[in-house]
Amino acid sequence: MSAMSCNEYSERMQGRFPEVSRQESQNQSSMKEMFTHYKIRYESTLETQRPKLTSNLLVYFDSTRFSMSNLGILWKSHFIGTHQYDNVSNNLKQELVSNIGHYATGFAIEDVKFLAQTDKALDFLNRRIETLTEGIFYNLRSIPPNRAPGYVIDGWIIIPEYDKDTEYKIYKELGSVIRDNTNLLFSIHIIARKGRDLGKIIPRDYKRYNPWSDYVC
Amino acid sequence: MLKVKESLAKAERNKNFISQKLVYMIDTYSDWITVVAFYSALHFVDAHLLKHHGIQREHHEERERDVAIYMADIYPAYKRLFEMGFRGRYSSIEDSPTLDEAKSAIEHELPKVEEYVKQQMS
Repeated sequence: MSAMSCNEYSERMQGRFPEVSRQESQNQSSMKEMFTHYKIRYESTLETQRPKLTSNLLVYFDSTRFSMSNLGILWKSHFIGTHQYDNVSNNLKQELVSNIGHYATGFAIEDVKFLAQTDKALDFLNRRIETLTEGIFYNLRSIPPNRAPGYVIDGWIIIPEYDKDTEYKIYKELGSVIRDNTNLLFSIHIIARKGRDLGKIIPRDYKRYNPWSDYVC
Repeated sequence: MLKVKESLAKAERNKNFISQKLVYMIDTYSDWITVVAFYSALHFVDAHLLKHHGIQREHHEERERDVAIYMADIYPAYKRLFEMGFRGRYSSIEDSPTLDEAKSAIEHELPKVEEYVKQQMS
């Protein structure tokens, strides 16, 4: 990754996700250790109405790493649907407050295995098409719980100009990723940069996929 | 939800709209050519998925996944139609499909989807 893109990435990501290198992440042997590393505490007893999830997790975010505003943008919009929050019992909400107190700025209910799989899927796609593109930008869009896994991976693949051959190569790889991850939902678009500033063509809140950082999960 | 014959009828109707009307405006409204071409392909795909796999979908994401899984040979063509139609509907005029893209949609991608589906039907 070039210094410029790294800086650009850092600016975009500052306060949103903890920076953890891929190697560092791979060295983490268990999900629990990963959460500890990310300063995310979890509770596995919560039940939600999402029918196809097997290990719903309640994830707390420590305010030393996340700010309220960022959580509001990132997690409230994309990971915590009100339908999910409403499913949390009052007792558990009180427990949340008593356990994590004032420094708890928010929480999200998510099945982390899907997020880990999402990261792997994006990583695979990125590796297969990175020579064709100027970047992949993604967002996770919350959808009703009857549509497992409860979110859609929205993505924009940037290419210099529209070009049929390039598009077909990308779609071929995308099809492969979809077939290998049939429990995920993708809505990936190609957009030609045409020399324009990326900020003008990428919708707000989208994040550049960065293979050196496990920021998806 | 449409039955197989109804989906095929919609697919043909959309295709006919292109050949009987829109093709004469392709220079001006190339975006609308791609939109209608995509919806023709969508109904061909729906007919195939229902007839051969008993699947009916409401959402593009699930349908696209099914095409990638069960109709892998035509996934790139279907996806390109989807993308051109998407740009035709939502993008600025600058990003709308061009004349060449509209021609590709009706001369290459849509026929590919149609032929695949009809071949499997027969």
